[in-house]
Amino acid sequence: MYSVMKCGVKLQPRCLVVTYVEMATKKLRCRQMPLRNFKETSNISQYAEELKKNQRHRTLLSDISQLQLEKMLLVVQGHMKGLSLEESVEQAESDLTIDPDKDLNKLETEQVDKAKRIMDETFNQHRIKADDPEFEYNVEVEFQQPIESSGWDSDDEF
Amino acid sequence: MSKPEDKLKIICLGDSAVGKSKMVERFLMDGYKPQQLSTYALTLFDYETKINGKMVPIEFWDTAGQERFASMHPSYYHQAQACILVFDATRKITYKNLTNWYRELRKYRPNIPCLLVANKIDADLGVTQRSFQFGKKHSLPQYFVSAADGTNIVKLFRDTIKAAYAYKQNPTDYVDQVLAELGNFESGKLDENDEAIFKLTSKEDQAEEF
Repeated sequence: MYSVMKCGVKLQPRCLVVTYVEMATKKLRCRQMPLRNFKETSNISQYAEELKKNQRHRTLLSDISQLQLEKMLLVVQGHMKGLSLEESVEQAESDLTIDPDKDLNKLETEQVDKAKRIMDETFNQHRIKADDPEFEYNVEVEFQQPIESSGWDSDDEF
Repeated sequence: MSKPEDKLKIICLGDSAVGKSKMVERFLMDGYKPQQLSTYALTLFDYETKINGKMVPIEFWDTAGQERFASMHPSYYHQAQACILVFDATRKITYKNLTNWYRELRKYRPNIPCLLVANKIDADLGVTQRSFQFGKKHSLPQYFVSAADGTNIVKLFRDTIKAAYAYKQNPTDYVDQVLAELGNFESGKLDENDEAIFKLTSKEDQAEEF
């Protein structure tokens, strides 16, 4: 069994780097996974999916979300396209952030699915499942009267 | 045994990815297998609960991408007794689009109870301290919920069921009453929308047999 600590990338040679604790020995370890045949034009989500299925790495990668892998791969791809490391990190971040003003009703299925995957990340982080010790079926919270305006009503936009 | 006409129909409405399905799933809990009617871009969740000592079947209607056309087929609204209208508390556009959803709802169902929901409060608890005028403007009760951690989900659904039940006991939509009477006399006369509903109903019936 492993406990994953961190996930990152190395640009030379290109590989995914995962640090983890091996539970049996309590030793901190680091694994480098070469990004074979990864190209400037590679489809990011497909490549990330394949990585997750890789026989040698899948146990370790099962604790890392598809989205995080995609982010790492985007950084590498950005760098391959000639961006600086900073620029490609910035681009990867904005690519995987939802614009709150974007109308998802107007996007293609593929783009909506991508947006849903990004939002699922937050959902899963905050999710309390039925088998979690703190789970309660009926959670009722009464909130205080609002203290400020949302600013979302056109009247108070001005 | 409950008769099909005892069934309550509750519809979920709102933009893509506001969390409508996840809310229903959280209320019904894991392992629930809904009927997917992909031809109609619909997901139906069957549920049963006791009201005043009597078992009442309930059907939750959820969209499966149909909202991308920014409008629902009229059969979606047909004979619904309550509506859960949802926006995503982290995305302003979904709040802005409430106006269109609400307008469409009222076109078909002028009087059914509608409950307004701000979902995803887990992503930003601060929203629960902010005021949203939409609910006040249309006199809709508003709920702050999270399908992820479960906050107020069960309360929302129980309140909706109660409202739907009360509405069914005393419907005020003129169209409903007319349709009920028409059903008694001339079921042969169907307009285009009714035919679509008819198809939909027969498809459901088939699915229920298994």
